[in-house]
Amino acid sequence: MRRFAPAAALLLAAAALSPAQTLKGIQAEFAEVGEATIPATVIVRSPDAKDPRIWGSSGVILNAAGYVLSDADATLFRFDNDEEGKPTVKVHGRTARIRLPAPDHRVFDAVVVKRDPETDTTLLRITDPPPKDLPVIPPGSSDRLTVGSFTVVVGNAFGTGREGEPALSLGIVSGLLPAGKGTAGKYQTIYTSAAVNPGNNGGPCVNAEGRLVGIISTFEADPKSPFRALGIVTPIDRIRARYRDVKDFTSIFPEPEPGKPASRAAALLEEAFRIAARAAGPSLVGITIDRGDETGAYTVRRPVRTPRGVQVMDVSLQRYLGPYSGVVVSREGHILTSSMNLWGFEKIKSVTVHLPDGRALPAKVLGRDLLHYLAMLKVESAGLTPLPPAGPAEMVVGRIALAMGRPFEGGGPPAPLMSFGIIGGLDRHVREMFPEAHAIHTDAALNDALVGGALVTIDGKLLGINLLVNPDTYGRRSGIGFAVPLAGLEKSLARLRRGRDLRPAWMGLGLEAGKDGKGIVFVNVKPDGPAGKAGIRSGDILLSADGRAAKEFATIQDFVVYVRGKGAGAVLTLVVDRAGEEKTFRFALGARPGS
Amino acid sequence: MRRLAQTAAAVWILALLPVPLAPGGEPAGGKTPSRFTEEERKVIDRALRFERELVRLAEKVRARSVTIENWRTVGGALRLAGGGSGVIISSKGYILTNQHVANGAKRLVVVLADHRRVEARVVGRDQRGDVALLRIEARRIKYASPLRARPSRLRPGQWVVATGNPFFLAADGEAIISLGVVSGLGRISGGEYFYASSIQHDAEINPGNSGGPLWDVTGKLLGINGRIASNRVGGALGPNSSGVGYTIPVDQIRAYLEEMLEGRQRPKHGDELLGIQVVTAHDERGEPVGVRVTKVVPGSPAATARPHGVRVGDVIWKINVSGRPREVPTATAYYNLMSKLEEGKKVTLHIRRTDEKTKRTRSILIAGIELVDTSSGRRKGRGR
Repeated sequence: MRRFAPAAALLLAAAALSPAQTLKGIQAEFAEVGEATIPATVIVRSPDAKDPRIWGSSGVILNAAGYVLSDADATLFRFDNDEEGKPTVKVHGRTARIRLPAPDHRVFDAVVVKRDPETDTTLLRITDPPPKDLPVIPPGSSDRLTVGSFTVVVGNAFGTGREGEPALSLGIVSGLLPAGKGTAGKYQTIYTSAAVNPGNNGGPCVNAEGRLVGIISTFEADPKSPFRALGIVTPIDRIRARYRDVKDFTSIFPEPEPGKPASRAAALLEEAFRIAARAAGPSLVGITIDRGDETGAYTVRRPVRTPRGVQVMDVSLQRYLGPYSGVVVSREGHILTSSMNLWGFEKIKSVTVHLPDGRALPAKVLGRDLLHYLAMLKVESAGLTPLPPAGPAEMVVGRIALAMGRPFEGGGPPAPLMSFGIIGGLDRHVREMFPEAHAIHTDAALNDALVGGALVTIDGKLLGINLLVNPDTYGRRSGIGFAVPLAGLEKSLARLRRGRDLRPAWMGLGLEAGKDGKGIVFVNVKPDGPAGKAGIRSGDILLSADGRAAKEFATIQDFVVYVRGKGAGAVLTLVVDRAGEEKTFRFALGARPGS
Repeated sequence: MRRLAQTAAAVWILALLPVPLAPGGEPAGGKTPSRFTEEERKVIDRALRFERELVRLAEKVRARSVTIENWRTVGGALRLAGGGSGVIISSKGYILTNQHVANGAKRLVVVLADHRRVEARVVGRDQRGDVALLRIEARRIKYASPLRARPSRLRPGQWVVATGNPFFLAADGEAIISLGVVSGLGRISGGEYFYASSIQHDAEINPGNSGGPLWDVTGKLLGINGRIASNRVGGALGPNSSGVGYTIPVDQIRAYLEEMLEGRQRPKHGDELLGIQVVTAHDERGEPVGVRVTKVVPGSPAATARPHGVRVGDVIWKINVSGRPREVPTATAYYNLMSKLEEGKKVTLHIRRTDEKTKRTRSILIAGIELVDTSSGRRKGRGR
């Protein structure tokens, strides 16, 4: 059974073989991590859970003597659901069955050594058959992690390990919650951007060297948490301290060996992420908003998976209430964020900006650009650190993009919240959102708390302001994230600084395709809307807008995009065909009432 | 698991005004602000060199990716009813995509990376395997050879990139690229389409990425994306990525490219020919011990084998292929093995059969079953 070569030896070999800091080098490094970690990631189930369809938890083999770490629910054998799918009965057993992944498939019986709900872990010991030729994951230190460190998550996501090998996903440490009083280790919780799904719980989170830095607990589902949609990992140094009273402690949780070969490609990138976070950190601020008694609860109608199949129903959702992220763009205290964070605008009583040094300052909303989803805030403080912008030529598809924010009060943890991806595309416009600018598309994991924060290049320059396009449509972990690039928006930014809003233009009418599917016909013209007041009537056919012939607009949507993008207050000249007669109208565009 | 076909809801995001993109070029590498120490600048410069590799890779793979629009007659009018992504695999304009992207189209339009819109026709398809081969008439196109990559040599942890048109957000045909790693290999998923030995990866793919390519970091075509696992039913546009995507490996497709080029059916795989369906069998401790037969197709090689046919309830635990014994502890192992076998191969099944009355289990061997196509359509063909 030589396939279980000691993991540490494998890793040393990897370090020697691939010193090149290249794409090929980095992928060889992570393949070595996978090879060492996957065989030691097991399925843990209660022996009383007979139904093979129950996935069970993931687990980690800690040493050759057969000690296994899993989540606190690994020995759960009854987990019944009521009509609405809520769990009703939980019974934790004293024994577990542990299965090694394919192609090994061996099954062992194990007993619970200690269960620790505090860290969401259970320590198990294999009893039968006696452990032999077990692959293990070498110990690491979570205290040495920083925001930006690579994390590899392995586990039985969606039950993968029942049949084949457990699945591996790569991410970075996005957030680190400092340990509270009485907690061992530096950190309370590690948040990772790696894909954590049902079935990953109890499985390993290893660093770029394949060393165990934590145990997967779950993913953050709380809509009020700034870490929403990220994976929750319990740091190994915190776990280790909770098991000091266990016999054989030192052999189960040996001290990790220090040192890291600096030539590794992964180490280079981690270091670069840290430098970028350090450089951008002083420019990232938290924003809290007082909306009085506004709860942020709302409902949408959509398909939902229930015990009785997929049903369309009203789903109660919760808006994110803050803290939000913002970016310092001037030494004099100008702060840019997303206008999306200022939802319920008329209810807003006050806005507070939380600087990285812990100061909380009252902020004034200078202006909102609802066309590009930007808002400019101003605080009275001199000597802030603006983030230097990236030029248009620096926006290149394939470049590394780091999404950063500081959605914390009182300064929060020293490092910003961060996720890593690449510039995936430079979209012309996202629906009608960006009629004049290119939206940057990124696969860096975004959540509500990063909206309004910065998308940053690896050399610490501001690419744009983070934006999620309707997360209820595109999903909270869809990899469909955007940033509003500031290059090209200088005019709008200047307007915002002068305290003037920019709203999408509104004509007050409907549009329909002509009889043969071509052309644009005005319908449902509101008599008191800007177009109606100017004299446009339902049935008029568009001939040209501002001198652009109707046929230049390939679709109705193109025309909408053009008009909206002019902004409320701009003047539009329309030439229409009314029953064969050509008529010209020139009028000021309005803003949609209530926008 | 759900397929990634675009839904009609996305219709109105399409057909955008062709405005030229900002000039590309190399990221400014040498000039970094002075807020870095000398040491830090060294790290950044090395990271920027690494990044340039990614940029070159992105340029290469995006140029070879296309968007596919599926137009159907809806209510008497031709409407954009869905679609997905694809990859150009030859200078003659052949394009690989998913069957579920091209399925039921009255008109197929391919949008190239340079924004050209070209009519496409279906040349061949693998209905069960969810692969379709399209052809366009277009000059000056860039393509990716399907013959270069060896997906069977992939390892979990290796970096990959996916290109395609998620949610049809890149309406001009310029593919969106996402970065990830291989999560696992040999994944099986059933349903209307059957994916065997597929690649699992965590590069973000979403509805609209269907049929779009997965690449390794040297720009070799690894396969085409087709499915995701998602932990919730999504919003208006369907499910979204959970970092669990599945790719049909290109080596599977190239095994029957010739048949597809000539418009012929893909030769059936061993699992289709043998004529049984199986699930994983577990012992009382939950250990997988083989595959339990849940269905036997009447008249199939499995049913008519001598001295006795395979029966429902039989547990197959080992299969000899060309004399080589291969254990099949799980349904995944069974389908991964059998889907690689062609017509004419002989297999020997090692079976544990439990007598219903006596509850006694005995081992039996069914030797030398020849994998031949006994489906009714094929027999008719032979008779003519």
